[in-house]
Amino acid sequence: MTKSIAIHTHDLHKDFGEVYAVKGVELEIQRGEVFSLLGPNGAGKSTTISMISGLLKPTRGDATILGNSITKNPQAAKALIGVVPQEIALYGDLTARENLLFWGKMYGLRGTALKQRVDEILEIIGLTDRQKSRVEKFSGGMKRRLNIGIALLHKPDIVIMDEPTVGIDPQSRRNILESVLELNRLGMTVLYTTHYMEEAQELSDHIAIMDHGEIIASGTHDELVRIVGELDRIELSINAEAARVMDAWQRIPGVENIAPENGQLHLLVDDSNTVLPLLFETAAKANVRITSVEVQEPNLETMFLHLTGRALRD
Amino acid sequence: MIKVLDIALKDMTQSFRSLIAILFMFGVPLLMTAMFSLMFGNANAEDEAFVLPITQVILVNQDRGNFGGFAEIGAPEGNSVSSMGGLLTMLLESENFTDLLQIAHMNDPQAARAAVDAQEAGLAIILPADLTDTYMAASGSAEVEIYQDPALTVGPAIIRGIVSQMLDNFSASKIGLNVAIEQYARTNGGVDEAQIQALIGQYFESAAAHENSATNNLDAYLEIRAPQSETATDTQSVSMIAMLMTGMTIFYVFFTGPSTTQSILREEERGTLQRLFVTPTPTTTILSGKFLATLLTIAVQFTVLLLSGYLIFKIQWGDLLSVILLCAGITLAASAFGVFLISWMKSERQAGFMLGGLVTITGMAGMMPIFVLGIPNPPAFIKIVSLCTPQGWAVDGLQNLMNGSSLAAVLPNILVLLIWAVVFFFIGSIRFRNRYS
Amino acid sequence: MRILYLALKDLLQIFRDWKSFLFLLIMPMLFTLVFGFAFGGFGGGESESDPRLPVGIIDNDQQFISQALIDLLDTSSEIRPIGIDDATLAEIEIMVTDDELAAAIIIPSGYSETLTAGEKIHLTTILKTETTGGITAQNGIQTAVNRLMAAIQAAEFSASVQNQAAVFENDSQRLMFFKQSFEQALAQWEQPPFSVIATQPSTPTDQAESENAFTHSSPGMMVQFAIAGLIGAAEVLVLERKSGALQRLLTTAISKTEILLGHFLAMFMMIFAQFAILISFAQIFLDVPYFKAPLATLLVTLATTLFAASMGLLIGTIAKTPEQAVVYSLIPMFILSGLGGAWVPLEFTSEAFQTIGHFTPVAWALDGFQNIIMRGLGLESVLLPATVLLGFAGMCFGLAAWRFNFE
Repeated sequence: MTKSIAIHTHDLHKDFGEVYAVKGVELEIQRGEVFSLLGPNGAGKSTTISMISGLLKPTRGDATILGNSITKNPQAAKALIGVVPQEIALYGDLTARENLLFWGKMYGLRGTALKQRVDEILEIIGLTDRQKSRVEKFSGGMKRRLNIGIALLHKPDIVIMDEPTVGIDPQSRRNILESVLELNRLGMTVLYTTHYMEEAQELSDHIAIMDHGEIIASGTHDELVRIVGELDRIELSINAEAARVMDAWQRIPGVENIAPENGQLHLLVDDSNTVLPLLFETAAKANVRITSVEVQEPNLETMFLHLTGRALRD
Repeated sequence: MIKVLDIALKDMTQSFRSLIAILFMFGVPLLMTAMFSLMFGNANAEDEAFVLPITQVILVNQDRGNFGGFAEIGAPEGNSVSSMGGLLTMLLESENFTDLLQIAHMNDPQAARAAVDAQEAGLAIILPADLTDTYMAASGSAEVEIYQDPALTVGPAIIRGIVSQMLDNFSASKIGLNVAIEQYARTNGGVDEAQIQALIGQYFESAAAHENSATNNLDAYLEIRAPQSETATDTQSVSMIAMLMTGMTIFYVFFTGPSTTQSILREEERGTLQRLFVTPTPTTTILSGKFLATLLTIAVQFTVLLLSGYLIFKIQWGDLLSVILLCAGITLAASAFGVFLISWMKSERQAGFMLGGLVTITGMAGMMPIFVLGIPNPPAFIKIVSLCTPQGWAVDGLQNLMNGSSLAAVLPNILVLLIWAVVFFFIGSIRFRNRYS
Repeated sequence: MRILYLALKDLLQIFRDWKSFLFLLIMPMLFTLVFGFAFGGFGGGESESDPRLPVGIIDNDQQFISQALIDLLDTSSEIRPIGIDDATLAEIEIMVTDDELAAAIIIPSGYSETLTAGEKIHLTTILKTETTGGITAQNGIQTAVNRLMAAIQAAEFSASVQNQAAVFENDSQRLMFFKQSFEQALAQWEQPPFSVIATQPSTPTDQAESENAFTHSSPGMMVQFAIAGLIGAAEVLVLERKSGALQRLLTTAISKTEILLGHFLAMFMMIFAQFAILISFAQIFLDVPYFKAPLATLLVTLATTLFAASMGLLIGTIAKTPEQAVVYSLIPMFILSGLGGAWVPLEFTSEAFQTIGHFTPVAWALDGFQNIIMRGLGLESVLLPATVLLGFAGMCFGLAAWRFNFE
């Protein structure tokens, strides 16, 4: 395993008995890149991350962190990663500084080096002034920053972030995305899981798309989009039940796929210029009015729809 | 190893920052001890483990009789009464019994009984109208009725005993005379009234002459002393408050064990435990740190409570080395108890309820010998029930040390506590390792 | 209806863990039994057939007077003599220290002879004077010795009278006369001219029921574990607040008052069910006569339940975390149970404490139950305790409502 590969998973499986969550995941993440694991809720992303970070034992397979096996040499592997969990995992009754000092010790830092690093992290996350306040008194945003700061204490080569932007406001989300890019600029490899396509598109050098425990596609953004070729994606809203027009539209030449989602219809078509008039005509014959139309260039959403027949947010 | 200490110190910091935890570890045991000492009155006296309660008594003296020339019979020196009823009244109201009863007088027995029913008094003593007449007559009997509140046991029983003894004194002179008269009649072929009067006179002269007669001075014939057992190096008995403090200390120490170990569940629910697991810190280290926190917290709690008992309540815990060794055993058992209990819990919520319940039950079972301290001859199974719990062994050991026992006498307790500790810890740690492997 | 739905939801959450409810039932039953046996009648000894306190006797005399003493001890209602002639003094001391014996009597050799000669001789009695067992044994022993001495005095007097009338030819004649007189006196002591008759209220409780040891322990344990059960109920409120479900509830049509009443109703139903089961258990299996005055029992139960539920509501509104709910439930349980006489009857405590104890609702609840099951009284006797309990309930509920609204 060359040192240019930060994380490698080989035939990773996780069977919980009732649920077979991860089925043979193969990933290769290069050093210094931002790698996104994209998929809907329940795809198996968090389970995969948990196995990579050593929290869960794989049923089969292994993962290596810079050549260190997470199953055979877990302590060495864990020393190389910093994990930002999805939920805020802090000690509310300790101060920000106390939290950092404790977690730093857990990552093997001691003495003056620890104290200096804690000061640095406080500076980076902008909590120097509040370092002596108990975390339970912090705002949500402050807790999130501290949550990320802890993962950076030991200057890890790799940072794993598990859906860090779920349920937060747009401003905070923006800040987190910026910080991910900044971390990458500093040389860290970032493994980022999300179910937001636009995040994956914005941040990532490489993306793996996961669904039902399997990687269904992997590559750069352009490579993935190319899977869907030149297919256009049309999003339509109508003033009636989708069933009234779906069959008719399906028979229109050039229509590859139709998927209803949240009151809208998502269509994959060969050429939107040719197909659109036919869609309007068919709808009119069925006494259905099209209330909005949006035509999109091929993107990950399109690709996911093409591969799975479902919208990414289903 | 250092990480074990880091985790332990972090947990202890969190524990000792919680006002609730501090209150429960130190405040409540001391408060409860003070409260119970108030309950039992003079509970710090070394020679009084139990103080008898004062019973409210209503006395109804219906006695119509008259002693006639025998007014000074049985009356304390310098006093004279005209009837048995009057004599009994005077005796019951004397200084000897002011610690036991407080007397109010009524004329009507029905009203007296009603007052007892209404809980205005613990019992009513109703002296019959023919009390003196029976005494003066050749034959016959009279009964003194004691009507009591069935909810009370100790006070009425003691007063019944006192009244019975007084009546026995009167019975004694009557029986003595009867026997003398009967025997005289038997040996002399009969007895007339003049002879009877002469015998009566002779009897009371003889009784007056014998000031140290047995019935007046039982001490001359009955020597009562406390036991001098080999298990006690001195005859000083353990005061009630010392036993109460012992019980409270043990109870709350065994509460702290599970309560502190519960932090594992708390961390699991908050995600910080999982975060610990993704650091380069072995699972064994993490769990060891948590167990060490429990151990150290209990050690601090124990030390503070024993010191407080010594300084505030003047409790002599016993030989220092023996106390230290016994407390070490108790600390280990309490910590392991916590590990064991919490290893069966799935969530903090479940733990809260079960912890409170199980600790209460085992604690109360262990403290049973203390609850029955004032009870005469409690059943043996009380001790057996208590010794089915580690708390029971702890209480027993501390009690022995306070009684002056040597280290050898409490070695079985220390050994059993260590066995409890090993068994609890073994099962608990296996369960935790399996859960977090 | 919303109040009822909320209450049912709470009950579902509380009893989701069926082990908790079982614990709330099994534990009070167990402790009722244990405390009942422990306090098993004043003077409850080890022997089921003879509950009197055991007093060990070593008879080194084995003559008529020592035998008479043993017979007198055997007639006592408080103590029973047990021959322990094989035991050494050291063993006897230990038996008394360890409460195997309430007392031990050592009758010295020559006892009868000495007393017959009109001399004094000590009877050694070993007991713990600072315990109620020791005091009881002392009373019993003193009574027997008193009667023995009285019989000896009677025999002496009779012999001295006879001596005046006709000189005894020899000592054995005198002794024979002495023995006869002594036995006559003892025979008269079997039915002494003056005695005590103990009576109690005769309606509707009879003597056997009022002496039932469980009449002390049953109500005490019921009330204590009713308070212990508040842990689970209070946690429901705490978790509702923590999870945001309360805030969500407040966005619906249900009012704050209805929310409060819904939670209160759940606690009330839980505690009432607990009381009902435990009362039935005590009535059926332990012969505790709760059903003799059913209306009175119902009133006290309702009042106690209302108080406990109100306290649970208060705890639920004050506690911020499940841990606090546990602690805030356990502390009042201990303090109120201890102060109120649930563990040790207030009768055993100092006068000051009995007064203090009645500042707690537990003491009033126990008074109410004891009026029914021990004193055999009816509805009228429980009106005052019920009223006081309702007062406490109102106070707790008021505080809880204020706290809830304040939030």
